[in-house]
Amino acid sequence: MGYTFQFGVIEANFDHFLYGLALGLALAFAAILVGTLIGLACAFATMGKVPLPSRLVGIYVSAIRNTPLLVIILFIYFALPQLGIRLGKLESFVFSLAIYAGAYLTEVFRAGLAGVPRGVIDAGRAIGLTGFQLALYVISPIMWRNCLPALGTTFISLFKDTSLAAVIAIPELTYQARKLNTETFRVAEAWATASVLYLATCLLIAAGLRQLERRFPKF
Amino acid sequence: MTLLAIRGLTKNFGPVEILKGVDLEVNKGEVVSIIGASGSGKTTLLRCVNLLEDFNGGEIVLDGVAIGYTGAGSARRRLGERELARQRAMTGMVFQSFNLFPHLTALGNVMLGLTKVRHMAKREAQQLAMSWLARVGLDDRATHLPSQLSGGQQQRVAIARALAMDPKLVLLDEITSALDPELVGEVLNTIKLLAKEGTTMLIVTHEMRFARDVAHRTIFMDGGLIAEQGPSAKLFRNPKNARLKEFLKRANM
Repeated sequence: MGYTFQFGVIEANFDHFLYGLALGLALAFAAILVGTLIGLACAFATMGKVPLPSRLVGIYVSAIRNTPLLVIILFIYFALPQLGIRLGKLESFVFSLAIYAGAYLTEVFRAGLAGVPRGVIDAGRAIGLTGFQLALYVISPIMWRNCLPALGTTFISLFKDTSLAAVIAIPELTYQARKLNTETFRVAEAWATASVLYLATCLLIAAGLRQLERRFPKF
Repeated sequence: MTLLAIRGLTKNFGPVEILKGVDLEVNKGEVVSIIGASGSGKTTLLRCVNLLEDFNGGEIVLDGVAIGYTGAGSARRRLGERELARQRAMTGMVFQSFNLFPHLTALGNVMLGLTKVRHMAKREAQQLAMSWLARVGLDDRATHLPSQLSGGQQQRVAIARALAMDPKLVLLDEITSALDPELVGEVLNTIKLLAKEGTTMLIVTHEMRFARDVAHRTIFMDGGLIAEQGPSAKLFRNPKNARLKEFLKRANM
């Protein structure tokens, strides 16, 4: 162990780390937003009586969940332009992470929907709510509460997955650490800093979500 | 005046025939109770009237309108979701397991249908909901969530939720079966009050004494058919059907 830690380089480049962290958060936020819309649409689509939407959603979910995210990112970034679809670097990554998030969130929302008591839905129908009103005023609020813990875990996991954006040279946190590593050879410092920043951010998000769970108590 | 007329109602769950041709009329202001063993089709009958279940044959006429379907024979079609919702709002239903909206307060539970289905202004809906909570003796629990209420209180909120919609017909499905014995009384008293006020009710119940004392008429269902019916006092005192006699004996009546 002849390694001497020198955090001076980190200090000098800390603004790069923070920029990388902020970019990662922004990417995660955008992907989660789109992914949530995909997930909600897919989860509700499986609720109907017609079997086709359910089957399509099933194919989408198992296709995405059984493919490594890294491969999805590389496919969309490198292969789609060959097929004539050109996206910017950031758009390409957000798109990748969003369809990936959508598949996982579909399952989270489906579990949340399954936890809405059948009888409560009957009660909503019985007072004359239409299907849309039922989904909006009865099913969704209960579903959200059911999903909250699983959503938190998924969101944190998706934030960590933004580190994969480094492979297509998006200058987020992992990219910044690698850059500092190669430029200064302060290997341990660079990766320790990135790790600590990821860890602290995830713990912070988790704490926020716990607050949210406390604010909306279980029924 | 006939409010509800059920004619030749049949219902299958897959190959199993649950209702085998039920005929039943309920007059305005009448309280009719339905008794019978588990699986005799009582609950399914109520759920058909509330259009929570589709049915295979026969018709249900509520206040002069055949509900749930349009056309006859091969042209018979289930109505669209929107129209079904509109027709469901004509009847109120109270369930065995209360089924309150868990995320809404007692007041919120009663108000939802008023604002979203009856399109009442919020203030007006709130006043009406409060007055119904008061009638079931729960105005002091208006801001409580269902999880903060006892079973009997939850069921009384559910009654207020159904009645506030001013339904033409109220369907009660074994509403005391999930309650602790000491809480049954408060719910039944609420129903007695409604009966006295002339609310038309169709009551599926296992409370024989309640059926006898409150219902004008009692129906005994057996194997998907009405096996016997008559004025409650008479039916309980002098049952004719052998299965009904057996059923009442087991219920200690």
